[in-house]
Amino acid sequence: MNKKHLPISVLAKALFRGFFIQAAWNFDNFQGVGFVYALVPLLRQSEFSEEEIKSLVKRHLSCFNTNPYFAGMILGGTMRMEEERIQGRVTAEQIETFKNDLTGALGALGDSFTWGALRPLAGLAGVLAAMIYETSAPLVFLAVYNMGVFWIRGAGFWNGYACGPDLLTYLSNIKLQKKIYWMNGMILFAVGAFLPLWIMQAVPAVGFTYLGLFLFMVLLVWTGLKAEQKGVPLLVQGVVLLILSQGLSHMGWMI
Amino acid sequence: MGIVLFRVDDRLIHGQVVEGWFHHLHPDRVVVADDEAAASPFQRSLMALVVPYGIQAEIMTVQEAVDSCREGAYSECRAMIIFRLPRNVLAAINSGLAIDRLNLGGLHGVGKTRSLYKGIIATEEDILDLQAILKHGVTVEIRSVPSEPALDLKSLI
Amino acid sequence: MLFLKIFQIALVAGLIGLDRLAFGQFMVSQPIVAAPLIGWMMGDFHTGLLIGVVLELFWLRGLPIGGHIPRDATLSAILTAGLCLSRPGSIQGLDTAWMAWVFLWVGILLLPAGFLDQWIRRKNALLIRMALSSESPEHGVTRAVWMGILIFFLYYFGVTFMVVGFTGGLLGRGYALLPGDALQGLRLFLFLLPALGLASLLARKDIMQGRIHLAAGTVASFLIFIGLKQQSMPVLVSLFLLSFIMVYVQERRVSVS
Repeated sequence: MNKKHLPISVLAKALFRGFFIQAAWNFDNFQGVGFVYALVPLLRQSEFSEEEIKSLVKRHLSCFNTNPYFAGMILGGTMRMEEERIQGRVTAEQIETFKNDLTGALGALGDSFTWGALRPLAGLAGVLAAMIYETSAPLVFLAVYNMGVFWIRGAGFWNGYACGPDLLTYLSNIKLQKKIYWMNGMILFAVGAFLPLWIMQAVPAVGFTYLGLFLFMVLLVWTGLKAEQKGVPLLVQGVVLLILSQGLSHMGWMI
Repeated sequence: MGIVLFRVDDRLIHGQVVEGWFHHLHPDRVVVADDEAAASPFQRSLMALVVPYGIQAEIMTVQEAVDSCREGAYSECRAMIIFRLPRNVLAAINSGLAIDRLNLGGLHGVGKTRSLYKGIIATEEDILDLQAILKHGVTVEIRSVPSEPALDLKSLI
Repeated sequence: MLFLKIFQIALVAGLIGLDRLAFGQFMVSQPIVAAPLIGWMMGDFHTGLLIGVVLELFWLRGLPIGGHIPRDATLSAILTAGLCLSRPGSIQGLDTAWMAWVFLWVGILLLPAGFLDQWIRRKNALLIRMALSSESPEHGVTRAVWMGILIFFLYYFGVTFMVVGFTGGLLGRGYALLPGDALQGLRLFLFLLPALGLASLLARKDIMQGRIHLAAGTVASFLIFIGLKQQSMPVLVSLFLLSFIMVYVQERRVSVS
């Protein structure tokens, strides 16, 4: 591996530009424009000729749709592969296949990591903080969430660049599915801890007994779960809940 | 117990399967029965990446999958079996796979195609295969995610 | 003074809105951060925080998978907090009925806002052409990206300015007409709302697999509840660790046998 690396400053610029990956989000090529925007620091390198840049931009303006945090890995990998293509070791088709395979897999993996596990976990941590320490809630949320996400973004981008086509090895080494599994455990813990604390806040405002309200909430969560499995939209569930609570209040809120 | 779902999807394991079906059926094993995927180490590790922790992923050829089904390898667990194309299912049935319900999740054929339903774009060959599968007495339902209602294929072809 | 305040809120809303999609995704745009921020700007952090907590829980699981766009939790938090605290007359403590009333109105507004959002994203396809039109590809792409940023900023700025600026008065008049029963019902509604968000999250989790964690969490919080509030953090942390050790040991046993 006696390859010449891009200067750190170029990599840092590309990483920062990666934050704009969804700036021109559209239904035609999704994050395609943002992806090319993040490639610009690479294109400024001297080995890329004018024509080279034009064809490259056209190539990468194709459809690109993945999880925004994991996009950095693919960005890093693509930068490495484009460099190798200039040296004649990789073809444009190989880069295309690399991008297509990874956007799909990292879309699925990344969405269940960030939206499915990390964000609910951070949200619940923030909510619990709000009920115990009040003012710290937004900070707790941001700290928990961004710790996870900065790791993915920073280490992911760097390893994407370092590994290039071997990105998959790095990905299976960091065992994200296992991390999701443990985060799911933490989420369930937080859900368990949430309800009694919430009841404590709610009873002074809405009346009724602690135990009664607790059981009612549990029943409601269970019903919501069934409705969710049947595919009832959240807003519709909200309307049903509104009618229910108006009815209960009208009858004097006695069960 | 046993096999909880047979599915046809030319993208094999992807977001819809993970977010939709895994949360609905809670399988503990997912079997990808596809000769092409079984032959490619890259595809294998790509799929291993997407499958949640606690679910065992097995990627094997169609023939191997049929054999292990017939040996009763999945009788103790909740298994989900995914094929790429109707052709593969037909081959499996012909080599002795017992199947009574098939989930048709996604087809995106290229070339001379016919759009049967949202997300089901079948080639002429696919349609012939599906008709043959129906003749074997298999109920084929179109349903990409569990929150959608199941649609019987018989009403379409 | 009020006009200036609303203008400021809309400016901040524009910036927060960028975080949801166009730039960064540090999740400053989640309700639990956005609502207290707006609340703090309007002089009532605590009301903002309560709105943030309820909405965070309600939208606990919004999954932007593929091309699917979930309902806009950011907009709902900004508008609810903004409208709630710009109540004509006086800001009086924490009236949860008024909060729920505002949230209902915002919930209705989310539907047209969603269509507008979709429309913008469809029109954004023009940005691809913009990126290709310039002589130098670098300039074209840069221009397209900044154009996108501007568009999303204006969307959040505009919607917030219009809604907070012009619908507050009407909302207040409608609220004055509500009978006492209905107000009590609204309070109940607000406090029950998180249950739906939790349900939508739990529908995608394996509850049987995580039952130990769930039970440990409930026990921890009951202990806090019966008077250990001073020492609540150690209780929470130790039961948290305990549940993980239990699951770890259980897994070991399963994998050995």
